Amino acid sequence: MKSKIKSSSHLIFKFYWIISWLLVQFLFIATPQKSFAASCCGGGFAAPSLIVGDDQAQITNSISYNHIIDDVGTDSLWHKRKSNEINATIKIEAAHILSGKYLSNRFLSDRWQLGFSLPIISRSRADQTSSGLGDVAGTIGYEYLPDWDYNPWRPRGLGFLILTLPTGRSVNESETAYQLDSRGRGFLALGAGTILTKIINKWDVFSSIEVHNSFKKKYSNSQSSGTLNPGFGTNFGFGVGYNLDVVRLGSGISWSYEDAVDVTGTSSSSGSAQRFATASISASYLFEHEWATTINYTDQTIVGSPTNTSLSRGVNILVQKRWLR
Amino acid sequence: MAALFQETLKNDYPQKESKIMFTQTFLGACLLTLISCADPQYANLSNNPQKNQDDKIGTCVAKFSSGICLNYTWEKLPTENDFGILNFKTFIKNSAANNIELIDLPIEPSIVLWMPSMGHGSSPVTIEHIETGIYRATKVFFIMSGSWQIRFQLKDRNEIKDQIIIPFNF
Repeated sequence: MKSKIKSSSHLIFKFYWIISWLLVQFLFIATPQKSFAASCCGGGFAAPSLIVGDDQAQITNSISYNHIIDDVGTDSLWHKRKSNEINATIKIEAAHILSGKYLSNRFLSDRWQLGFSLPIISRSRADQTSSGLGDVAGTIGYEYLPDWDYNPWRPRGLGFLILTLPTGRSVNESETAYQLDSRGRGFLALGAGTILTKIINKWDVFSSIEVHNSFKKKYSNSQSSGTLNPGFGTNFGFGVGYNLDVVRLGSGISWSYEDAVDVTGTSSSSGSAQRFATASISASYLFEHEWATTINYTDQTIVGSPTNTSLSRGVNILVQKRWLR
Repeated sequence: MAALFQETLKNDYPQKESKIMFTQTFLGACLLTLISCADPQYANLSNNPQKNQDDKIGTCVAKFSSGICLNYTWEKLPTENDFGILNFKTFIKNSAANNIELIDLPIEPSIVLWMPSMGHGSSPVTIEHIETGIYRATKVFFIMSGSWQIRFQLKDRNEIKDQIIIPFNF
């Protein structure tokens, strides 16, 4: 009986590892853009709206500035953007594990967690600015592969569901010049994914993947009206960090893909898929046991084979507070 | 399932196997990084927004299904920072007399600037009816470079009765 359980356990472990390896090797799926704040001293790092460490809760405030550099057409030709368009985002993200009082099974309860992300976006171009709420998201996560025995090679695995609400107006519903009042994709979307993390001595590595489906919706503005039919989108990424006492230096790459949006109505088109990749480097400082700050630089013009998208460079600064279990 | 997980954790994992799998994944990720460098191909800057090629009066650039011709010229080309101004005329050709007759469209026209690859439009365009068969569109602006369509539409409420689509590279 024991040998049966042992072999089954090996199979489960191997299954998760193979799946993870296959997912890592896929080229055109990407991660949701999450900045990674580091905790030092072997504690790894955190995705702001998900807890991937040993904490009970965390809250992250961030501000980012992105400057649009190029536009890439469906023919993959790049066009330098001559106009100066800056997007500034203030984001609040939080996550909390569920304690025994929320779930009857105490053993499973602290492996579940809830999180949310709330962005406020300000877009400016020429002499015009528009600010407002972006797309709000909620996540539920489950630690399906815990690291209780600190296995030197098996990663920690966190699965999650993410629901994105169309609280930021989509570009199709925009009514202003330069479409600055568009602050989101504008679709209700449901996604699922997983994050794998591992700390080896002073190094930490991560990989994540997410797949989502956006739901069709009707739209209307002064110029056109009809139905928008989006499809699937995926995100995939990985990265590495090195911890020096209270400082962490990290880098990562993520790939994003979105199906074409088919538009029917007064203005119809079948659209084209979008694809882009984001490279990032970051530096984090742990200035108290439970406080950390990170500065992050992202660039979408140096990696990947983008198509049908705008590319930007940006800087992000965040402050994170964590509560230990 | 939970019990199986517990047993999974208690067992002594084949660490060598785990190490091999981790190493393979890490090397695969490194390879992926190395082959991911972007190779931007910038568009030829001389291919700038085209003017209407043909502003000779009488040239029918496009025709509505009713037979009414349309011809347009740019009074001011749009740029990345400035709005453009587009003048267009609607007429019927009298082949017998070899002349044209300016004629108003049966419905007040609207112009939609549409980017088919992205599936969205651009800033709203304002149209002014100058005189019989002559219209002036202002606030013509393309929010990004790429292949666009200028859609001259005749709409009755939200129903399109007739439409001309002219491709435009910005």
